[in-house]
Amino acid sequence: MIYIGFGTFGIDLGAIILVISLVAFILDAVFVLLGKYVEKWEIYSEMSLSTGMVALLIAFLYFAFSVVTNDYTFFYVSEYVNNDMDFFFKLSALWSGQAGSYFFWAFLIGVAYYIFRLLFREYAHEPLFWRAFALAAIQVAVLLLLAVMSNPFKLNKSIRSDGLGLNPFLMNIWNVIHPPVIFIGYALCLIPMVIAIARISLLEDGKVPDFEGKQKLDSFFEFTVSAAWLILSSGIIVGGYWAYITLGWGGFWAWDPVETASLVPWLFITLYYHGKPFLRKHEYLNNYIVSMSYVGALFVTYITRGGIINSVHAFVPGAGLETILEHPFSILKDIPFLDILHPLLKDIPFIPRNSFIMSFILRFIPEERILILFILILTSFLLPHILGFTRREIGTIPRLIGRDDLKASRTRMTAIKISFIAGLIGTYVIVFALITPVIYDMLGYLVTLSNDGFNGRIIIDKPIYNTIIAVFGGAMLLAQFFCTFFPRISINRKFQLLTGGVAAGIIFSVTGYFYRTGSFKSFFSSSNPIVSILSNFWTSSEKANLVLPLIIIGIIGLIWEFIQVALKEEKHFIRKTSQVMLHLSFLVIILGALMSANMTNSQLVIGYNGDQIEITGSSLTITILDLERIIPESGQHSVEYNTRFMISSGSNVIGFGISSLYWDTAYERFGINNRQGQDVTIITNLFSDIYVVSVWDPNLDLNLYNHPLFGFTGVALQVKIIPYVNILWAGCILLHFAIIPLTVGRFFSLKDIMKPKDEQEKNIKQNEGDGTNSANGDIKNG
Amino acid sequence: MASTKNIILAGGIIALCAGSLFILFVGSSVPIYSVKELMDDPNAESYIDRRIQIVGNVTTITNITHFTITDPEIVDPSLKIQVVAPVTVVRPQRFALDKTVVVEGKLLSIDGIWLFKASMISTKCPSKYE
Repeated sequence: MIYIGFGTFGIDLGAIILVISLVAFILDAVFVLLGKYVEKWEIYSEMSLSTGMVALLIAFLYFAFSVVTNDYTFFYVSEYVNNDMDFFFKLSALWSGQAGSYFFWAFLIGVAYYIFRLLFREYAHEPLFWRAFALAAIQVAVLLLLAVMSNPFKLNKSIRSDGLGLNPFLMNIWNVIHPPVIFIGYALCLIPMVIAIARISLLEDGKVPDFEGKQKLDSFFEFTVSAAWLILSSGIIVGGYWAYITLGWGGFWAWDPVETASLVPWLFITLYYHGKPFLRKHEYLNNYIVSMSYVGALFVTYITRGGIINSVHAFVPGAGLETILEHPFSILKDIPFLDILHPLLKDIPFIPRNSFIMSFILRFIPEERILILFILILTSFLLPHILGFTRREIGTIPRLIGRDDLKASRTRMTAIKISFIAGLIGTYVIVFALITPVIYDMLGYLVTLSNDGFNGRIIIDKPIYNTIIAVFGGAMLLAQFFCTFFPRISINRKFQLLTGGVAAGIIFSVTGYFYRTGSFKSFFSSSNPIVSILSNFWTSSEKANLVLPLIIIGIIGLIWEFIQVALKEEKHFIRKTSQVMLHLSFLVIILGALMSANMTNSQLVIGYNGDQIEITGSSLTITILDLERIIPESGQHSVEYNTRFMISSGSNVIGFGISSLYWDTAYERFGINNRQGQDVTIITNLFSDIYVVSVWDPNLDLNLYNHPLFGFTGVALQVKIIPYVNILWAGCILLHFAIIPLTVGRFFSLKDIMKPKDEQEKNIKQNEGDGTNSANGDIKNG
Repeated sequence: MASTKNIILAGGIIALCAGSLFILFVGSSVPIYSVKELMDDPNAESYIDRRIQIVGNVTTITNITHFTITDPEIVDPSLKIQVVAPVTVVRPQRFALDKTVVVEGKLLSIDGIWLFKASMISTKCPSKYE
């Protein structure tokens, strides 16, 4: 802490630097916006920007230093750090709390904007750059304002020697990796968004007029979009894996509102790439899609921080907005420097506390920072729409599919367009499903004029999202038969394959139903060899069974196409292999998700030392090898019950594991009793995961854990066999193999194009001399 | 004028689709209540045997299958619901006394003791408890 002030009247230096940074970024935004009217605005703007960035960097490093060095004079540090935490866990505390996460995001956004400005400073006079800079500067200033309002440098009123520490469940490697990766992905979405909106604002007859630096900007745009796509993909996958290995978080994907919202920016970027073959001719739609990715990122923040939708990830919102709306200047109390004005202005009224309008606003904007965020989302969302209307571009969207598209020669392109439209509508339906509980609540209040609204709140549950995916994903899947799956065969053959796939799906689904319900026992007996093989693939869902043959045909088609590209294609090799791998990865992920989610076998087994217990519905046996009760002298467990077990199939040993049940003392510091804790043990083999957790006595009479005479005599194990889940993770890895070459190629392409002209010419001559054909050229052509 | 007509037409179609989706989503949604909201609802009986979610604080864990939840915001010992959760229903890692949980399942009875059979128990992501 570096205290500036005297007595109780003062603040920390960090808060001052953060405010300086905010003021500098606001000045930068003002200079950029008023550029036309201020001579040498570029110089003033750059001075403000550099000051803001340096101040932001110092403030953030100082904040990080305070967190990792346990500076408990700060309220934030004492809330999220304690003396026992390791360095990396302390580091993850930086983004684990409200104030820290706002600050971290504002910092990343600031860095992204600064790099953008530095790279293109020489073109600031061009209208497109000028507009993009202005938009980015405003975004950074607003997010910094949110960070200042959260005040990460708030001081404790008393001296503390230890802190509360991070929640024990956030003290793991996944909390070190997942949040920053997602934040970086969101921050990267800013640059394409501002460029896209600036392009839309300049459209003339559907085209962006030529300008100085266009080629460089386009290359930078492509690189940032691909990088955002890669990083968001990684972040979502890491989050899914973290949820999968944590007991009670609903598996790899639970359609929790925050999880679902986090998919929205990624979906928009995916749609951008999906529509590439025809979006080049639709500049408005092309840029609109990209701009929505960043709006999606802001939307996630609204849902996470707003707490308006019941989500397992939601933060508890503050309760200050009511006071602020009643007396707007009461906000000054918490803003460094401006707090001097608070006594003078605090009683000026605005909206009466118990009025209808106040209650209505608080239903969807529960706190002051959310109000700012809400305005930011609304303006960012409306801007491309309004510009589209004013420039008469929205009217061009229905022309996406014309009569020409019905010609047999254009089947491939039409299929891509249909698939794109299904994806776009599906994305908006998901967004609408996400906000339906809020609309329901608001409508209920408006109609009934009662706080209860339409008799309570609602949540949109998994089956609804599954239906949305089935409808729109299904349409995309069918369309893919005519573009990506078998591009080298005739349309007739494609039709035949599709019809065959649908027929196979119907047969597979109907027979699966008969098998599951025990009908036609004479035919569906286990001795029938065909049934015996198929029983390994029938899921418990008829809908999944219906679609599985289509997916498998698609996978075969894509593998065949991959081989063809690898053997025959010389031009655009990287682009084509990436494209095929990308589609393949999506299908593999869907296949793994459908099969694992609908074939999971879950049961409770009770065993004593040395017991061999068969796991019903499988060929597996679990053998209890050893039971051990430990009362550690130190650490956060008061007692541990460890069960060593072996999983086998016949005489083959699948694996060994230790399952622990313990009483965790970590919550004592919160004044909460010891808490039962379990570690999930996962034994992985090629075709399935075996997920084992010790659970407390199913019947207290058994005295499994604390027998009065024999102590720890037996154990209750929750065993889940999750087949084919590794297919899903393999698909996730494949997705990276597809996107990484794209991003790397874009990077080198950008690097080449940013070189001074003479160096570029030298490289071209050298390449011509060598006769080399670089991968970058391949990407550029793509 | 033609473009104005088109805009009105497009707006109408979008509004119609949104309205239909809204009705569809609300019709398939799961109602969620706090303990107080549910117990104060005069039509609570209509929720018997219907799938609902209840948010409450765990106050007592009677045994491995039974626990009691009270309202997370209003301290009133009379506002409590007894939850029966078979052992096969996974208790999340953060399930403990004083924790806010969301239980999903069916209301069994409201005569005397309010009894709820849970098919799913979830706690909030730790970020909630900062």
